[in-house]
Amino acid sequence: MSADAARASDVIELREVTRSFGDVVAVDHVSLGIRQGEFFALLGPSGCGKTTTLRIMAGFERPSGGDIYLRGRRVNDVPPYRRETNLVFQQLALFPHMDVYDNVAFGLRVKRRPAADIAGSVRRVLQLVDLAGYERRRMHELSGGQQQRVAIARALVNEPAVLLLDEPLGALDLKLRLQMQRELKAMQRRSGTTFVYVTHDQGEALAMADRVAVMQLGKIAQLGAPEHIYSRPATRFVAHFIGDTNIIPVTVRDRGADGAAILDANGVRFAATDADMRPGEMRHISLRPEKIRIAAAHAARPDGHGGTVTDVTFLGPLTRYEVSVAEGLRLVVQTQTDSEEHFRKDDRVSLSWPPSAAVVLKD
Amino acid sequence: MLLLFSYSAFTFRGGQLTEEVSFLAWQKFFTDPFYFGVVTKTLQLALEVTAAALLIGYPTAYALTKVRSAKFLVAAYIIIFSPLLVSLVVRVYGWLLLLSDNGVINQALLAIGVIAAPIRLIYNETGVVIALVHILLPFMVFPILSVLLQFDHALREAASDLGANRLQTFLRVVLPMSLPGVVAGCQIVFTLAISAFVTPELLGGGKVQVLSRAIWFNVVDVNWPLAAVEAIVLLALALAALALFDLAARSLRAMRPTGSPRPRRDSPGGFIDAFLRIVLFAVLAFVLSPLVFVVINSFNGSAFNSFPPQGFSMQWYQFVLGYAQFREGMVNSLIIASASTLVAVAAGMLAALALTRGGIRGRGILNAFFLSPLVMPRVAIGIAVFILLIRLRVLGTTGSLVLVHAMLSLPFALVLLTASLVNVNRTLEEASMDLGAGPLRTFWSVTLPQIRAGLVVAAVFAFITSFDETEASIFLVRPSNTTLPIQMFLYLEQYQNPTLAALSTLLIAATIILVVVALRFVRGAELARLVARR
Repeated sequence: MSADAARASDVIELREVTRSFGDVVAVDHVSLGIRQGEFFALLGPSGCGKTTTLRIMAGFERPSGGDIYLRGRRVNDVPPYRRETNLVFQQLALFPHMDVYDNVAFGLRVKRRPAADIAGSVRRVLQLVDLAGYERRRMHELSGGQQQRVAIARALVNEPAVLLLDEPLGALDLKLRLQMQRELKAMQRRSGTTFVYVTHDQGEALAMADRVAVMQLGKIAQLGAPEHIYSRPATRFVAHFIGDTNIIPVTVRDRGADGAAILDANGVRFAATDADMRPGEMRHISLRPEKIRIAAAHAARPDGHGGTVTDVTFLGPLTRYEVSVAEGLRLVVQTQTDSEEHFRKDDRVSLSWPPSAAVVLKD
Repeated sequence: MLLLFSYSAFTFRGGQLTEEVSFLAWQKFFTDPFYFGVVTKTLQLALEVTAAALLIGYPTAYALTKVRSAKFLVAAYIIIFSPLLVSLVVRVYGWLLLLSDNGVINQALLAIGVIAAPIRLIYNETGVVIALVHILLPFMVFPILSVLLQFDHALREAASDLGANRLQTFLRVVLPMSLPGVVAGCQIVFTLAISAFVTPELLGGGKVQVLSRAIWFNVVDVNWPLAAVEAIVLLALALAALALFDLAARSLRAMRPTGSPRPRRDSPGGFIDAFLRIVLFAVLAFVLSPLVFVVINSFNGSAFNSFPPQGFSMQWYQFVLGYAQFREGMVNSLIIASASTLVAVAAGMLAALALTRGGIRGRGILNAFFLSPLVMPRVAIGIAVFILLIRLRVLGTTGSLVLVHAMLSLPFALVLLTASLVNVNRTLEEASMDLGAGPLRTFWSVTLPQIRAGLVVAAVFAFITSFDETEASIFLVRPSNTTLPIQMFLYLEQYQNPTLAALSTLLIAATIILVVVALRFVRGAELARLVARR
């Protein structure tokens, strides 16, 4: 894909964008393009640079290096109030001295749109966020979820090229958060607006986003569809950050005839379907706990690895086992609570997994 | 302009004026034992006032932390603050009424037979100390209060868990931790006390020779070089005091509490709490009494400020309204106060924005510079500006008074507006910018509504500061634009009848109306927060 083609379909494009604060490099040569109409998530732990990246897009931070394009136009030096982006703030930042209507109408009034147009736009957007009839409410008269929707409406009403959201659901309790996730996704589809969503919650990113960029130490560790990032994590960091996993240091022993590599982890040998390895190499693999089948030792499959259950945790629908397979090799295994056989601590078991489950990591 | 004024106040008089007379004034000041006596007296008076204010102010602040009713708390705040809202001359006049030989206290004591002849309470140091403590008490109470309010209740529980009783807890934990507030309070009170002028002049009866009075007399005698020397000495004393207290404060800085404080008011009961309540009510009465008796006396039928009042009369009100000097003074004061409020609030707003928003280097120095008029002796400012204005040939113009008053109210405006701006959530401003509002529009529709409370209070403070300003203005006015407090001061030096009581009552009423109107814009909690921050 050529650079020009990328620019044509991207609403926002970052090229080698860097932002440093003194000695601290918050964003380190980040390049990415966000496509028209997609729900894009920037995911990472606190301090990874995701919020700074978002604030660069909104115009509150100026890149120390690199360029940022909005609809093909370089906007490095364009202040926030002249950008076609709108931000839903983490603390919402609703104006406490205004009611719902005045908050939502603020952006349109600033742009001196006719009052009749404003009234129409505000009515439509309040319907979109399911707040029709709340126009004259004050901010302190609204519940957390309602305030959330006002903040989104206030941004959406301006029909931004991109809607930027900075962990907007962070302050809500779990149940409301899950509900708002579904609503946000629905709003995004209905309005057709491009969303860029910053979060540290991998569940949120996986549930809502079309594409996810996982950030670590100011860099993008991996970018792709949620399913891809989950099933084929590129690095130890990504594998760990998205979901639960077993990271196993391995040595490449041999290459099988079928192209699979034979790996050795503390004497336990198994295959992995990854071509790009040479014998003798030291690597890490990620093995998701739910990909591992657990069976009683007497019912062991031929490719099974014997082990002893050292810990059992009941998680409701799932049960989590820790199994010691070899000296220094302990694997976490997760099974459906009601569909599988149950094991207790010190039970002898046999573990097995398909070669495709062992994902070889870059680092 | 303001910067120029305060800057000139720092530097002008040292150099040129004394050079012309070849240090004769300096020589005279440092060799004549009379002036040594004046300096000692000034310091002694300030020490007495500071000690007395601390003795009264600490229990008051402590008692205020025990108040549970929010309404009573706001009322108590306002009462303790009220001396600041009422003209200096009115307050002094109130003490004259209370303390004079035929005043309220002596007459009451005579009536119940405790004393046979009136005791001398005014025209000596006692009266001056009492009146100064009254005026400066709020400056002692609020720094201590703001420290006590941040006190972590968990520390008190920890002390009691470790076996300390209430008194031990107070002496070993609460008191040491509140020392920064004590130092801050003493610093302000001491600095203001050494430069007090109106009070020693009117209540001292010529017997309390302090530096500010010496300056005044030298200016009247046209011995300006000597006045300038005295002003510099006074300024030096003020700065030395500030520095000493700062040093003390710095040595206490290690005692910052760890973790986030958990404030909690104590459970009621115990005779200590009863005692504290009595102290609080006594202090409130002490603060209010001069004003109350001013009001009572304004209806006095007699012409001699006698107590109890002899008959009811409205004649003094008629006299006040007919007295041309007061009318002119009132008009002048209103014009000057309004104009200087506008200037001070506008300049204060710009300075506060620069200090809180602009990433300026040397913020601390700038801040100290803007605040300096607050602690600089008013009399010294007066004489410095007086000499500057003569040089510029604009002495006595209304414009010059407006600027001087604006300079004096700027610190109040700056402190209050900075405190408000710091409280404004920056994300709100970012949200506004994000929605397309430029910096000006954002300031107007988002920032300004958030700091309305601070703005109103700042304007009220600036207005009252200007309207009541006496000690610097007295050097700067001409008969044509004399302000009301100066007219009152001059009147009080000559006459002693309830005319001033009537005028004062009108001013108190006007102040109450102003404050009530202002409070409609400001919720009590906001006010308390602004106050505690100072």
